[in-house]
Amino acid sequence: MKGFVNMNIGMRFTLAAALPLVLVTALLTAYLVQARHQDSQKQFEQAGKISTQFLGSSAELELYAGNREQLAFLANNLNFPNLSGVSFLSEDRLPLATSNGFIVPDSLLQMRFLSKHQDEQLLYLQQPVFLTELDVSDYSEGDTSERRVIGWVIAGFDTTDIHRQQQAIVMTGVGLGIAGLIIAGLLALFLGRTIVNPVLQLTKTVKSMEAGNLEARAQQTSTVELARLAQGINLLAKSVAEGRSNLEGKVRQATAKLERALQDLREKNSELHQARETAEAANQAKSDFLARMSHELRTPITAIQGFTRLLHDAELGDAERNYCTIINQSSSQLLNLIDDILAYSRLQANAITLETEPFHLIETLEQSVRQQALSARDKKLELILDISPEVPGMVVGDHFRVSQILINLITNAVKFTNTGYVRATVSATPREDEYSDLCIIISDTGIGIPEDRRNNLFDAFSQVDTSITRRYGGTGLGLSIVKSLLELMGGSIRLDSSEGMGTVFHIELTLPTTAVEKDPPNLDARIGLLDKHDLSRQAVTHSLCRFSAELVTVDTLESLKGTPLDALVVNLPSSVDCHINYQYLDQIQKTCNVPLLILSAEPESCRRDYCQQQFQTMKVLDKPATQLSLHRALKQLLERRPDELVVSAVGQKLLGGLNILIAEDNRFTREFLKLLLSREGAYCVTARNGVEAVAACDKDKFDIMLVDIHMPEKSGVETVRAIRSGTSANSMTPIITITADVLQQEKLALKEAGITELLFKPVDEEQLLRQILRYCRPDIDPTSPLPSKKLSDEVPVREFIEEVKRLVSQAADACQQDRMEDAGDPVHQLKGIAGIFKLPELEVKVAILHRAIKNQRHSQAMTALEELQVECERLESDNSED
Amino acid sequence: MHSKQDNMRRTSPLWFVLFLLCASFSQADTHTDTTVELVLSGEKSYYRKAALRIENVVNATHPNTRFRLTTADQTNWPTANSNLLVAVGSNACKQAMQRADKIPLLCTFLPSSTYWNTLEKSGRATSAPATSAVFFDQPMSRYFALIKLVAPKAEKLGTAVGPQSTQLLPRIEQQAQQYQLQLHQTELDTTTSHHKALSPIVAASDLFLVNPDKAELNKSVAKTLLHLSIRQRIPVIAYSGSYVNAGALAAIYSTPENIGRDAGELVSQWLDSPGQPLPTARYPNYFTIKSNPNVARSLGIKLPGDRRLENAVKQAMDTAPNPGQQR
Repeated sequence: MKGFVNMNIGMRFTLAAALPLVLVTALLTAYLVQARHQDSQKQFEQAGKISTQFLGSSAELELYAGNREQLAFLANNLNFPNLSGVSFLSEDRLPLATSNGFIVPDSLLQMRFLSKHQDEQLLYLQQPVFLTELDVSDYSEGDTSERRVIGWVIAGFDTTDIHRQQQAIVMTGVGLGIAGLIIAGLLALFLGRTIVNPVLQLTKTVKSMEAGNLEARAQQTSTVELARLAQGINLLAKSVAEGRSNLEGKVRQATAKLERALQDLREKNSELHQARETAEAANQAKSDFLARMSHELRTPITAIQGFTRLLHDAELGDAERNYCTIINQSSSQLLNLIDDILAYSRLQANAITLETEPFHLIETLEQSVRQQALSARDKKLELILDISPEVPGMVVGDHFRVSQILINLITNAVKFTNTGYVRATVSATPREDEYSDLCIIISDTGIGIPEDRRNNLFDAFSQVDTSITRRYGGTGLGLSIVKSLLELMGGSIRLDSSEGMGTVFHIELTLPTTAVEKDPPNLDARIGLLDKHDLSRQAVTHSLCRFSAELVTVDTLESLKGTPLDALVVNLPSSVDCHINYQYLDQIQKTCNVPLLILSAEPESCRRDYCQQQFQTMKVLDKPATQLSLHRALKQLLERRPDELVVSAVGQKLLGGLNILIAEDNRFTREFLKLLLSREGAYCVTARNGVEAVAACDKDKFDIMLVDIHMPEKSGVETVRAIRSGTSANSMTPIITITADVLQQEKLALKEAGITELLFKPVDEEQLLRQILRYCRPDIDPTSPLPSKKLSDEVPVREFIEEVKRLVSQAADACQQDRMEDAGDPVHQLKGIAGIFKLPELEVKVAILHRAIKNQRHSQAMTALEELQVECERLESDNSED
Repeated sequence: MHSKQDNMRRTSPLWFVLFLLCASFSQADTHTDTTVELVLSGEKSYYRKAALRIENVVNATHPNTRFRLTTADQTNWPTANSNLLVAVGSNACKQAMQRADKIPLLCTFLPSSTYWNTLEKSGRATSAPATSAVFFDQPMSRYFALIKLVAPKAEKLGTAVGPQSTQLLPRIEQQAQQYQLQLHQTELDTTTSHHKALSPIVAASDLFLVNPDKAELNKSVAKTLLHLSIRQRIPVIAYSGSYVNAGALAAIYSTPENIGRDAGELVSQWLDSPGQPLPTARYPNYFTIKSNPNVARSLGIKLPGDRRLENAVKQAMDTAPNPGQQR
C-alpha cells in the first residue's frame, strides 16, 4: 500500500488500468479453459452414452433372446470412435458376452445403478437395455405399459484422445491468456501514457518553474481540462515572472543600500575587534601573570606548611607547638587566597577543562566537609553532612571541581557562623536517562546577608561590606568561582538569607551516574543512635541506614533504658566542653553496657581521657564521620577485636581513617608494609595470597589495595581480575600492584585486568605514600613534603638478615637439587626486600642471582648464592658488632 | 389452474363442433323431429372423424335430421327426445347399453368380440331389433383374400392367437383349409417367451398372419414377430396401418371414415323407415388395404398397389357372405 502511495501518477494509472484488464483476461481465460475442458468431457461422455445406447438397441433382441453368439460377435466387431470394448450382461447381471481383452471393473458389475466409472485409461458407461414395444394399433387407448429391462450393456471408451484434447485446450487457453495479458498490459501502458503524459508534462513545467525558470511554459494538449490547466499555469507563470522582475528591481535598490550600511558596519566591527583583541590580550596577560605569580607563591607556602607539620610532630614545648599551629593556619589562609586567585584567573582565561571521569560522590562530599572539621571544632560549631539514601555513589564528572565548590561554600559558612551549625544536605532525584539531578544545600546559622547585597554577591571581588573583609578576611572570589564552576558544569546556585539568621545556598547540578557503588555489607546487629541535635541525628541516621538493618534513634539517654542493643553510637555535641561530655559518657556507661562508638569533634586530649578512664569497649571517630569509617568502626566493635581498639587519630595522621588491604606472600614484606601504613594512621588488613585477598574484599570495604604480583594460589593478575569482575564493594577500589620484576606481557595483562598503579620493589616508602595519598587524599598537595623518618629505621636489621638468609637458603637448596624453577620464587622475594635497608652490595648480588636464575644459568646462580651467603654472614657480624 | 386450462384447450374444438351441430339441429328442427344422439367413447380424433362421417353421410340423404353429440363420460344423455343412439367406440357402446334400453342403439367402431361380450353382459336381448353394430375388425375371409393376392404361392401359414383372439382360431383354420394353406399356429400370453414361441412358427411358415388381441400382448409380440420375419424373410399380414409402418408387408383394416360411412349409411337406411328394426350387426363394408413397398421390395414381392389390392379383395369378397352376423 505504501508502495502504491509512493508511485508516480503514471505508474498508478497504468496499474489501475492494467489490473482490471489483467484480472478480467485471467478470469475469462480460466473460465474458457474450464468451460471447454468440461464441454469436451461432456461431449466425450455424451458420445459414449449415445454409442452405449446404440449398442443396447443393437443388442436388444440378442439380449432378449439370450443369444450369446450374436452378442459375442457384436462385441468383437464394433468400430465406434474410442470404443475400447463392450460387455453385455443379462437381466440378472450375468455377463453374456465381452469384447476380447476388455475387463469390466468389479465396482461397475456390482452396481447396477452406477452409470459411469472412470479410471486412468478408460471411461466405462453402463446402460440398461429395455425391451422396446411397437404400438401397432391404429386406435390405441394410450400407452400404459411399463418398460422392461432385458439386459445391460457396459462400454469402455479410451480416454487417451480426450485427455490429449483437454491438454491441448489448456495449452491453447494458457497461450491465449498470456497473449491476452500482454495485449492488456500494452493497452494499459498505452492508455496510461496517453492520459498521464500531458499531466507529467505539466508537472515538469511546474517543477521547472519551482526551480526558478519562469520562462518555462506548459504545452497545450488535446484534452480540454488539461489544456485549461496548462493555460492557467502559463498565465500564473507569466504574472509571477512579472512580479519577480519588479521585486528584483526593488531588492537591487535595497541591497545597494544594505551593502553601504554593511560596509560601514564592517569598518566599525573591525575597529571593535581590534579593541577587543587589545583588551583580551591585556586580560590574558593579566591572567597569565596572576597564574604565574600564584604558582610561584604557592610552592614556597606548601613547603612552609609541610615543614611546619614536621616541626609540630617533633618534640616541642607548648609555646612552640602553638607557634607552629599559627604558622600553619596563616599559611593555609594564604594558600587558600592564592588558590582562589589562581582558580579565578584560570576561569577568566577559559583555561579550565572539566574532567569527565567516574568518581565517588559520597566520599568527595565527605572529604570536602571533613576538611572544615577543625575550623568548625575551633568555633564549637556543629558541622553536619546529611546525605540522603538516594544519592548515587558513583557519578561522572570533575571531582576536584565539585570538591572545590563545596569547600568554598562550607569554608564561607564556617567563616561567617559563630554559633549553631553548618549543614550540608545532599539529595538526588534519579532520572530515566542515567543522569541524576543533585540538590546540595549549604545552610548555616551565621550572620546572614542583607537583602541589598545579595544580588552582586556572586560578582568577583564582592563581599557584603568592607567591614566584613576586615573582620573575616577573604578575597571575595570564592562565590564567583563557585558560580562560574557551576555554570561550567551546567548547574546553578541561588541563595536565601536573612540577616542575623543565617544563609542557605541551593545548588542544582545534574551529573551522569555510572556503575552503582554498592553500600558496605549490612551489619546484622541492632544499633542505637543517641544524638541530642535533631539535624545531626537525622544526618547520622541517613548514614547508618545504608548498612544497618535495625536502628534505634533517640535524643535522650532515658529513652534507651531497657532497649536491647548490640552497639550504641553516641554523637557528642560540639558546643559542649570536654568534661561535660565525660560525665555524659559516664552516665551512658551506667545505663547501657554495650560497645560504644563516639562521634566527637573534640581535641585529641579529651579522647585520651575517655580511653584512660577505661570505659567499656569503645571507639572514637571524628565528626562528621564518613559512612565507611562508621561501618568499619561498628564492625570492629561488634567483632570485639580489642587489639584494634585504639583511639583513632583521624585527621591528625597522613593516612588516618584509611582502610588498606595488603596482599603479599612474603611475611617480611607484608609486615613491613603494614608497619609503614599503620604508622601513618591507616587500618591494614593483610592477606597471604590472592585467594585470601579476594575473600577479604567480600567482607570489607577498602580505600585502596596493595597487591603483590607473584603470589601463590592466585597470582596478582588473577586477583585483580577477580576483584574487578566481582560483585563486592571493592570492584572500583584503587589497586596498586607491587613487584620486584615484571615481564612486558605481565604489564599488559595487569593493565587489562584494571590495576591503578604499578610500583617496583624494593618499595620506596615516599613513593608508596604519595601514590596512596594521590588516590585517597586528593585534597593533600602532592608536592608537600612527607615525614622524613624512614620506616627502615624502625625495623630490626636482625630480622631482615634472618629473612634474607632464609630466602638464600631456599634458593640454594633448589639450585643444588637442579630445581632452578623452584629457586625463582625465593629469589624474587629476595629482590623485593633487598633494597629496604639500602645495602648496595646486597642489592647487587641479589640482582646477579636474579638474572642467573632468570636465564637458567646454574653455575652463575651457584656462585651468586655463595657470594650472597658470604654477604649475609658479613652483615650479621657487622650487626652484632653494632 | 393448469389442468383447468388444459381441459379448456382440449374441449374447445369439441364445443365448437357441438355448437355447429346444435345450430344445424335448430334449423332442422323446423322440418323434422328426428334426433340422432351421437355418443363418443372419448375425445380421440378418430372418434370424432367417425362421428363427422356419420353425420355427413346422413345429412346427404336426411338433411333435417338433428344430431346431438356427446361423450360417454357426460351424464346428460340420453335425452328424452332422442330417436336413435349411435355409440362410437367400445366404451360408449357399454354405457349406452346400460343407460338407454328403450332407444334404438347402433354401436360402431368397436371389435366384434367386444360388442358381443358387452351385449351379453348388458342383458339386452341379442335379437333385439333395436340394437345393432358396425365393427371395425375385418372378416377372416378378407385376410385370406389378401393373402392369396400378395403371396399366391404360399403354402404354409403361420399364426398366433392370444387370450382374446383364440376364438378366431376356428375361422382361421376354416379359411386356411378353404385356401389350402397349411396352418402353423401357437398360443401366446404375456408370460411366455414370445421369441421362443414364435421362432419355430415363423421359421416353418411362408407367411404369417397376425391377429389382434389385448393391446399389451399386441405391442410385445409385434417387435419380436417383425424382427423374426425380417430375419426369416417371411411376410406378415397384419390388421392395422401401424403394423405396416412397423414392418408388416400389408394390412387390411377399416379407417374411421370407412366405419363412419358404413354406420351413416345404416342410420340413413333406418331413417328411411324409422319404425323398422335396425339391421343386424356386421363387419364394415368399407375397408382399406395398406402395404409397405420397402418390405415388399426386401422380400422380392411385387405388389400392384393398395387401391388395386382393395378392389381385388372386394371382387373376391363380393361372392362371399358377410360373416359379421355370425358370432
